[in-house]
Amino acid sequence: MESVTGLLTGFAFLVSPNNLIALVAGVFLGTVVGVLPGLGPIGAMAILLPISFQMEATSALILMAGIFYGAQYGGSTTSILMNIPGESTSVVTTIDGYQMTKRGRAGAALAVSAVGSFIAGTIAVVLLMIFAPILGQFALRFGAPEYFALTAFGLMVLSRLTGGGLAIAFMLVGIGLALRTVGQEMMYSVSRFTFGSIDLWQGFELTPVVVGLFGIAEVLIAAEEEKLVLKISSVRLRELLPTRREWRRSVGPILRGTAVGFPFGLIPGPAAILSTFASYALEKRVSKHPEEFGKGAIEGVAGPESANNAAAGGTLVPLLSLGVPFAPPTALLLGAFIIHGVQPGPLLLREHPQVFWGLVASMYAGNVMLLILNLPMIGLFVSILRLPRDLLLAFIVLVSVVGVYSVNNSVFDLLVMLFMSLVGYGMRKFRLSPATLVLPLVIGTLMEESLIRTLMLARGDMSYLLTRPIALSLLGIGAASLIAPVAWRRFGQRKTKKEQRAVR
Amino acid sequence: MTEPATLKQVSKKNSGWTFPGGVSWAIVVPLLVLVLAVLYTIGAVSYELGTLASPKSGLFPAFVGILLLGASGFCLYEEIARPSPGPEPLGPAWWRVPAICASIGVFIYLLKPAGYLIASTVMTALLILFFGRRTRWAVVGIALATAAGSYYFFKLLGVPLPPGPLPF
Repeated sequence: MESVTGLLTGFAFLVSPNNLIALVAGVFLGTVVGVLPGLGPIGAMAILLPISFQMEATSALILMAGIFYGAQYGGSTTSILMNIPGESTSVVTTIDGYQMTKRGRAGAALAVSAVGSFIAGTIAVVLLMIFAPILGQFALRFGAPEYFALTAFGLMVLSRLTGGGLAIAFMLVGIGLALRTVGQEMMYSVSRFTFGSIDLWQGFELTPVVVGLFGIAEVLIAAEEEKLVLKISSVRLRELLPTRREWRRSVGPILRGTAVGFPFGLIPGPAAILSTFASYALEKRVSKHPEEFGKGAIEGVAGPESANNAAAGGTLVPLLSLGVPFAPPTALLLGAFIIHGVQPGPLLLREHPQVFWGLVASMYAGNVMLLILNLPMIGLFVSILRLPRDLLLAFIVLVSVVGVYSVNNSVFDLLVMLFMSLVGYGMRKFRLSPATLVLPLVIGTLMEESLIRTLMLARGDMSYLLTRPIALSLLGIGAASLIAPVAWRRFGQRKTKKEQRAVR
Repeated sequence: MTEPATLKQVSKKNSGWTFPGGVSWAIVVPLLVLVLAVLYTIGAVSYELGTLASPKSGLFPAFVGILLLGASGFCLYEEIARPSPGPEPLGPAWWRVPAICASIGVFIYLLKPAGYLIASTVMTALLILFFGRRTRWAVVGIALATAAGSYYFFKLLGVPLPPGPLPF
């Protein structure tokens, strides 16, 4: 009952003109960046983060969230039409989606993908509405030791996403935390690592770092490719209708994809990508025609496309209820929350109910809008692919630099952005995830404050953490997430060696 | 399935980028971080550390410094013991990367003294020029139109932009 009242309140917030404009802009831009290969939701969110400063907190967060889940819809378009995944979460869709295009069934693949995304997205919002407050209530028991354990847990689980080994992950986490310590320290008002500079005294703003690492760095990666033009075929509206048989074959995969995707979203890591692979494998296993997979089976489109949308909804549960992001896009969303003075976590529902319920209501409405955008207006998004990419990239750079400058009217912020864009470019070249650098920057202050308070509370005895069950569990799970992959690999190697010996 | 092949490819392409003894030039990254970590830790311990029971402002940076030293030191050791395949090769139009950065640098340099309109016109013109798909007159026209259009768009959003010597 409380949820229904909350949701109605959320819809009441949503119908304000500012929030509606933010929602339409968010899902539209999300679909656009999803359609455009090379530009992802993280880059788009980073670029628009400074501009969202001019907006009210709820509107800004509706815009950001709209980009995040809108991109999951748009990502399938290029996968199906061009065999180029618009997003990493649509890689699996290329397998059967493009084969369907070659057989003249592109319209059906796009329609099933959009409807599957809509169903999965809507069910995920219902589940989010149920689980987030429950987890939030539980987290109300948190004190300083639990918050320290939570931040440490967040860093441990997200460091697995770095793309390199554990040492590299810790190195990046260390760099992020070190950057956070620059500037005026809050507890004792001591200036650290400022070297007398007023710019450094204020510390590193999140916006220039994020825009540089994600936004401009993506432009640099796209620009170093020689070809800036894409050739694509057009889709007619009347081709969008799947046959009755195709619909019948899609219902099961859509529901199974949703069931697979949502729990994956609750697991730290590249949940959305993994969920698509899991869904594809499941569909192939349960299918009566597994031989059709890879040759244009509609189940291979319906399942994974539903799974990635459900996973996107699932990743919002830990963010909203614990204030800890389990995936890179939600790390950026956390940054957006904090920049707008809203701390997601157990107190979000109590302190900012309009933000939580406004966001949930916007996701219901956003999914309907995305269905409308991705079916009759599919031709429009396909034509976006024909936009000259040189102009698009130049425009992205212009929006980024103005956005960063507008936050503090600071040229120093622009220099930080430029430096961070080179760092982001370098990290991509070394196959490292910039999110590992951003998360410590976002939660570093909370981590330091909760550590200092814990130490004071425990009179310097760190074993005090072991007497707090929640803190102990969080640290235990975090440590297990670090050790488990290494142990699993070692176990696998030992098993292979044993088998080789047995063969000899 | 394709990842090992890609790594192999990358490794081959970067085979020339090694130090004597086959150490990958990727060693530069942990080495640089290690040097910075030493400097950071020296800086951190120069602040008041306090005790564990009564921590002061230097304690957390000191912990971070230790983490950085340990992690970068281990990365360096691993890089020497088992050289990584190195970075992905540069794209065919790699020169655009420094060119774009230089264009942004010009914008930053011009923004306060010359104002937004001039700075953004110059940056947009340079960017489109470096992408190399348009005639010079088209570059100038697009740059002027983009700068003017974006100026009014950002003004509409309430973004304060430096006017420079121009009257608007």
